[in-house]
Amino acid sequence: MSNIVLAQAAEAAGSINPGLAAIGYGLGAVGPGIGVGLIWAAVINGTARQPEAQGQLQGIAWISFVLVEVLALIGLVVYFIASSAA
Amino acid sequence: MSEATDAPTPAETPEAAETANPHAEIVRKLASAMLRTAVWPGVATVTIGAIVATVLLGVPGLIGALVGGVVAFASSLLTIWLMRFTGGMNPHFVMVAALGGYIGKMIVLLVVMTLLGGIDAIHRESLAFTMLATVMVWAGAEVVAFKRTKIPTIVPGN
Repeated sequence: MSNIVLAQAAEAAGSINPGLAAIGYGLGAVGPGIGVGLIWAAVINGTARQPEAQGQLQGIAWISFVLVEVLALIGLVVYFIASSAA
Repeated sequence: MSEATDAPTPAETPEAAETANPHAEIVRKLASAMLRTAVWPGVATVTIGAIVATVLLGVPGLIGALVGGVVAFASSLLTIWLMRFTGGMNPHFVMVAALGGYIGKMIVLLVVMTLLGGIDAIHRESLAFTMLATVMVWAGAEVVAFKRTKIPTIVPGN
C-alpha cells in the first residue's frame, strides 16, 4: 500500500517539476533584472554629476552587466536541467 | 606646421563628430578588447566540452555540447554587439537598450532551450554544462580584458 502511495507521489512530483522549474527560472531572472536596473541607474546618476566620466562609468557598467547576466544564465541552465525530470 | 592648422577639425561633419566622440571610442575600444580576449578561451571551452561529452556520451553528447557552445557564443556576442551599438548614446538610452537586450535575450534563450529540450538527439546535460562553462569562461575573460584595458577620464577643454 505504501509503495503505491509513494509511486503516486513520485508520479505527481514528476508532472509538476517542469512547472516548478519555470517558476524558479522566473524568480531567478528577477534578481539580475533588478541588478541591471540599479547598475544603469547609477551610471545615469554618475554621468549627471560628472559628465566627463561617462565613458569610464559605461565601461564599468558593461562589465558589471555581464557578471549580473551570468546569474540569469545560470538560472536558465538550472531550469533546463530541472525541467527534464518530467 | 601650416598643413595641420588647415586640416578640418573632426567635429565639422556629423560622421566625423560621431567617430570623434571620446566616450563612444572608449566603450568600443573596451568592447573590442573584451571580444579579443574572450573569443579564444570560449572556443577552447567549447572544444573541451565537446571532447569530454563525446568520450562520455557519444554522438548525442557531442551535438549537445556544440549546440550549447553555439548558444553561449550567441548570447555573449549579443552583449558585445549591444555594447558597440550603444557606445555613442546617452546613458538613458543605453539603460533602455541594456534592459531591453537582457529581456529579449532571456526570452529567446528560454524559448530556444525549451524547444531544444524536446529533441532526443541532443544530450541535455552536456548542452547545459557546456553552455554554462562557456558563458562563465567568457565572462571571466571579459573581466581580465577590462582590468587590462586603460580607460581614460575625459576632461572637456583639455
